[in-house]
Amino acid sequence: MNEQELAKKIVQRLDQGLGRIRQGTLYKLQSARLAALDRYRTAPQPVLGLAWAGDVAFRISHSRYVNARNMLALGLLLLSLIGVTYWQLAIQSSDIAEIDVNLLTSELPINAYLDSGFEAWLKRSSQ
Amino acid sequence: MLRINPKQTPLATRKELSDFLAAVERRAYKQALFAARDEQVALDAVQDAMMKLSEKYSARPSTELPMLFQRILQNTIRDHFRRQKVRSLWTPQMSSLGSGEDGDDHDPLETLQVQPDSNPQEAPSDRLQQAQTLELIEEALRTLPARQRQAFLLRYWEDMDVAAAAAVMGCSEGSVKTHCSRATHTLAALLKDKGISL
Repeated sequence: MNEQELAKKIVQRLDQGLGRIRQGTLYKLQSARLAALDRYRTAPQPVLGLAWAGDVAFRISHSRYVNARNMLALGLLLLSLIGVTYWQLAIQSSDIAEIDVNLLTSELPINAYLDSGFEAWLKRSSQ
Repeated sequence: MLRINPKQTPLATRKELSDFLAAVERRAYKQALFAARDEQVALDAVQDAMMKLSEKYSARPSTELPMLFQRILQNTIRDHFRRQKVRSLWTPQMSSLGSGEDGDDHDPLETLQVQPDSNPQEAPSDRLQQAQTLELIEEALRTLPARQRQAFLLRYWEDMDVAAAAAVMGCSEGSVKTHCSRATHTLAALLKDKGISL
């Protein structure tokens, strides 16, 4: 028996098996079908606007990617990006504040840092 | 992605859609049942597929309905397995699949029903043998790898050509042929092991 013949015979048996589905299950299938038919639409929903450009809002809002789960994930991503940026700025500003405090509380006058001779001396002494 | 092209005619009427769903609902239920092995899950999958077809794709030519419906149904079944995989990471396995299976204790006589169109002259032993054969075939189908079972059922039970089956499965025509061939050989071997000759 070749592949096609065997498949045909198996399918015949499967078709016979369809008649053995329980009555309760058949009733549920029928109910599901009727519920589905209630949602039947005779024509695609008309969309006012230009061919594509004016249709962008509709396309985006009806995209399968626009759903609560994806929106939540996007929101969390944005919040975490804002958090990281804020944290980096806070660290940077605290570093600057620390330098300012050191400069102001140091006994060395601020003008000394503008003196190129003093800077050269610092480099020499640190080597 | 499936897109609506309003220029295509003639569009499926409500009656055509109703007739189509009535014709495929039992096979669709069985397909889902082979995959999910749970009656409630199978019913939910068929209902979801019917809803989506009617709501989103009813304004398509009636000739496209079989392929669209199968595509939606297969995606719905796949989504079920994805959700189940995620759920199984969080819940104990005791609540997973298999609630409807009793293993070796299953008795075909318990599910054997008297058919309205059955021949009263037919011997009960013949009816029992038919039920047992059917049970073994269905069990063999359940044990097939998902893609092989899908290809076999689409090609031979839904009577789709190779191109349509490939479109539904999202693979090449060559893959469909390979899956079908392997499925048939595996089924033949499984049935031979059980001593079934069709």
